[in-house]
Formats: sequence, structure tokens, C-alpha cells
Amino acid sequence: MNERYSKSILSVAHHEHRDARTSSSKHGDLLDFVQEFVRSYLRSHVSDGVILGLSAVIIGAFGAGVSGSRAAGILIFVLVILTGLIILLRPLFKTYALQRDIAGLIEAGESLHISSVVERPSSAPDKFYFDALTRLTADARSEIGQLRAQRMDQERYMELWVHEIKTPLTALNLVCQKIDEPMRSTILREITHLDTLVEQALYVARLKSFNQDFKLEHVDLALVCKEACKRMARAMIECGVTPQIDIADQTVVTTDAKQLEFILRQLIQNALQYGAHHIRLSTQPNEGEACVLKISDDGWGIPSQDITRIFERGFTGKNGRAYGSSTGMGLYLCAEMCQAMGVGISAESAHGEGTVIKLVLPYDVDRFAFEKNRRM
Amino acid sequence: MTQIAIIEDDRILQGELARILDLHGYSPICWDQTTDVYEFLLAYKPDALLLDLSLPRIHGHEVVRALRTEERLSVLRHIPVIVVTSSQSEYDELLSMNLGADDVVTKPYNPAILIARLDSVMRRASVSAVTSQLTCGDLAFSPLENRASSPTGSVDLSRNEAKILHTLMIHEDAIVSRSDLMVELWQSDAFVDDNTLTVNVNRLRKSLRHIGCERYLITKRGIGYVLTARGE
Repeated sequence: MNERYSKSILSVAHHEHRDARTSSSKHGDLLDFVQEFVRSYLRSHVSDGVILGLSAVIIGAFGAGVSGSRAAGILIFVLVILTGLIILLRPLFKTYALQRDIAGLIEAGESLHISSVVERPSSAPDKFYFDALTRLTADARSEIGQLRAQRMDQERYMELWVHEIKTPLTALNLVCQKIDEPMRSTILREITHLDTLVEQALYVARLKSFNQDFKLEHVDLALVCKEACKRMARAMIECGVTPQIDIADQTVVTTDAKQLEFILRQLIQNALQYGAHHIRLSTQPNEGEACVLKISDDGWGIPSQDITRIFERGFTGKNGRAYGSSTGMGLYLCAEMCQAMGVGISAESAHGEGTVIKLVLPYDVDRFAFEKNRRM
Repeated sequence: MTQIAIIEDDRILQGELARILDLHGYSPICWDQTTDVYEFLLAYKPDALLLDLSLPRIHGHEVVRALRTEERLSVLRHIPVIVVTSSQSEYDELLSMNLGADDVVTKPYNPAILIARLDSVMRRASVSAVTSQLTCGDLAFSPLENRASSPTGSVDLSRNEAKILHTLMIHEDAIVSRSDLMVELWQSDAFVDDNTLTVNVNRLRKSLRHIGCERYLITKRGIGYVLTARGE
């Protein structure tokens, strides 16, 4: 098969490189900051320096004239320069500490907390700027707080709603068992579709959550693949597709089982929509820290101009045909979920040659590191 | 007759559960929602209980706890309880079990699985418990044992044959499409294709022939199969 690679979202690597900066680089940054600060301060006080210089010359000359001695004149000149320099440069030292602390906080992403951490300067005009900053950050924090609260309310409602809607869906499902064909299959299929959409809504809501709820657990890959196939049974059977599951028993990875199963179902759905007659779920032999799960189909494949965009939100492919779902959200959602879960996802395909989707699932996850990276 | 109480506030679900239980030879008693749950249970003293967690005035967990601990309900203390819930929370499941439920089933559920769980719970609860049995004319089928019998004799069925027969009997007199049968078989990890289904149905027919019930299984060409005692 002609392999062309799509955009890979290899989240595991992505998260790792954001780890703590080394202390030597911090040191280097400090030196840079000092240089920059001093340079800009001096640049903005060039006119002051000129005035000082001129005044010193004039006063010195005057003094020399009055006292009649050139030495006295030079001495006065030097004294004026020194006094002037002290007056000019004193603020430099005073505000240096303040500026360094503020710059540090901004660098660490804590700009909203500047006014609570840094000491308020006592002199004008610094203290006026500082007060304005305090006011600004307070307003920003309050707005963010409100938004967060609203978001949490929405999420809570969403969870409740999903919970509630399962009851009428179950009832519908049961009642429809009694309807005759051909309506029965159609209605049951639509109910399954509804169920999937409800689930999708829940996952979309959770993705945007500040409080993402992942249950990292040991998951038997063969089992979760079978579960996904069972839930997709009706759709697959109606397309005349039987799954081939080539995964050794006891292949265990660490991830969120429910979300993985949802993703698998989405991928199977795509394969069916894209003309698959045969779907194979298998693992690639791998000695490393992660297991590669392949979902392969023998469908129409993805044309090369589309493949780099299939994971984009709302992407609907050439001729308006949606790869994955009519809203273009299906694969986008999968990719987002994978990224949030630290799972890699990529696609290989060529037009007319089927498609292979690969998921990179870690065997073991250092939970502490996972949580830390997620919060960043 | 084994009496099973159904405590569920959704009328449609309650009706469906009752129908499934009745079909499988159990005797369902439905809670009518206006009486107090405990009074209802004390009045009927059922052999087992299907309990929904999300009830209007009282939470299912509270009911389980009360049944297992309260003095006035001591006569019901050892009654098998299956909790039915739409919550997929493991916490809910764990809590239900810790409070004394025997099993937890989540909605949406497969009726055959619910019956299997109930059978299993009933069997654990008492040595001589009668487990579910479906009948159609002279034919009787026991899902727990995968055994079909008639006045002429009995025969053990393979897992796939049993699944097919069970599905046909649940829909007795109604035509079941080939897709439906395949969907059911897939639920027990048998990812059969069209041809394999045909093979299995033929095997079932042969098994039924052993006990003289072959005439009950009718093929509706192009649509599916039906199990009926009414004869064509």
C-alpha cells in the first residue's frame, strides 16, 4: 500500500517536552533580563543625561569663574554629575526588583496574581501604575471566575441530561422490539444513532471541561475491541461486515476504557461509511512502552489532498462528503479525546486502497506525571 | 410460581420488565407507585426484587439498606435484590453491592442478560430455586442450562443454537429477522456472518427434530425465522 502519512498528533511526546526548564537556562534568562532592563532604562533617560551634562558644565564654569580656580570648577562639575547620576539612577535600583518579580510571574503564567504577590511600590508614578494593574487583574479574575462557574453549571446539567435521556431511549428500544419489519430495523438503527449522538454530546462537553474526568485503568485491548464491535453489531451486520480481531489475550494498556471504546466505535462507523467490507483490529508487534492498535479497513480510502485535514474540526472532505460524520465532528472529537488522554492517533491511506488508523496506547502511565502535564 | 417484585417508576419500562419476566416463567408483581415501597414488599413477600435506583420519593440505595438492616423488614432480609440503574458510575455499583444488593444491571440492558442474571442470583439464593424457563407448545427451554425439552425427550444445545432458540422464543409467534439473530449472537462474542447463521439454524433444527419439535421452527424466506406452536 502506498503510504502517505497524515498529521500525527503524538500527544505523549508533546506533553513530555514541556517539562521543567533546567536551572541553567533560568540563570541565563535572568542575565538577559538584567541587560535588557538596564539598556531600556538608560535609553529612556538619555535626555535627562544630556540636561545633567549641560547643567554640570554650566555650573562648573560658573563656579570656576566665581572662584577664579579651574580646579574648583572641575570639582564642582564632577560633584554635580555625581549627584545627578545618583538621583537619576536611584529609581533604577528601586524598580529593578519590582520589574524582575513582575517579569518572573508573567513568565510563569501567573500574570493574574501579580498584585497579590508583589509589594506595592511607595513612590509615584509607580504606585499609580501598580494600582491600575491591581484593578485590571482583579476584574480579569472575577470575570474568569464567573465564566468557570457558568461552565461548571453547564457541565452538571449536561451530565444530568445524559443520565435522564437514557431512560426514554431504553424504553423506546424495548417497545420497538415488538414492531414488525421493515420498520423495526429502521427504528432500532435510529435509536442507536440517537444513543451515539447523546454520548458524543457528553464527550464534547467533557473535553472543554476544566475538570476532565479520566479514569486511568488497566484495559484488556481484545476485550474493549470486542465490546465496541458488539455495540456496533447492527450497523456492521447491515453492511455485511464481520470484524477480524487479531489481538493477543492479556494485551493490557493503561487508559480510560469508556472513552477508548467510544473512539473505536467512531472509527468503525467511519470505516462502514467509507465502503468497508472488512474491518480488522490488530496490534502491531512492538517492544517499546506503548502498544499500537491498528484499525484497518478495505474501503474507498482517503484521497491525498484530504488526508492531512481529516482530523480538523468540521472538515467534510471533497464534494462535501464528510469523512466520519455529517458534521465533520466525528474524527475531530476522536483526535481531541486522544490528545487529552495522551494517546497518539494517526491515519494512513491512499485513494482506493483502504485506510489504517493507528492508536498509540501506553502500557503503563505514571499517573502523577500524567496529572501534572494535564494541568499545564 | 416464583414471584418477582418490580420497583421501577417508568411505566413503560415496568411493563416491559413484567412482560419479559412473565415470558420466562416468572411471576412479576409491579409496584403501583402510590403505596409505600416497604408496605408493598411486606404485603407481597416476593421471592426476589428488581429495583430501580432513581425512584421519585426515595433512593434505591436507601431501600437496599433498609431491607438488609431494619428490624421491621427482617422477614425480607435475605431476599435477592437486583439493582437496575442508568448510572454507569462504578461508585453507584460498588455502593449498591456494599449495601447488600446481589447484582447490578445498567440500562440500556439486554433482556436476555437480565434474565440470565436473575436466574443466576435465584440459583445462588436457594438450592432448589426454580430458574427461568420458556415454553412454546410442547417445547420447553431452559436458558441457564441451554437445554431444550419436550414430552419426547430433551437435548443439550450448543451456545449458538441456544442463543438462537432463546431469541426466537422471546419473540414467540413473531418473525425475527436474520440481522436480529446475528446481532444477538454477536452479543455473546460470536461474530458470525450470514453463512454461519444458516449453519447454526440448521443445527438447531436438527436438535429440535430429536425431540419432535422441528415443526415449531419456521423459515420465512427473505424475512427471517419464527418459532410458533400455531402451525401453518
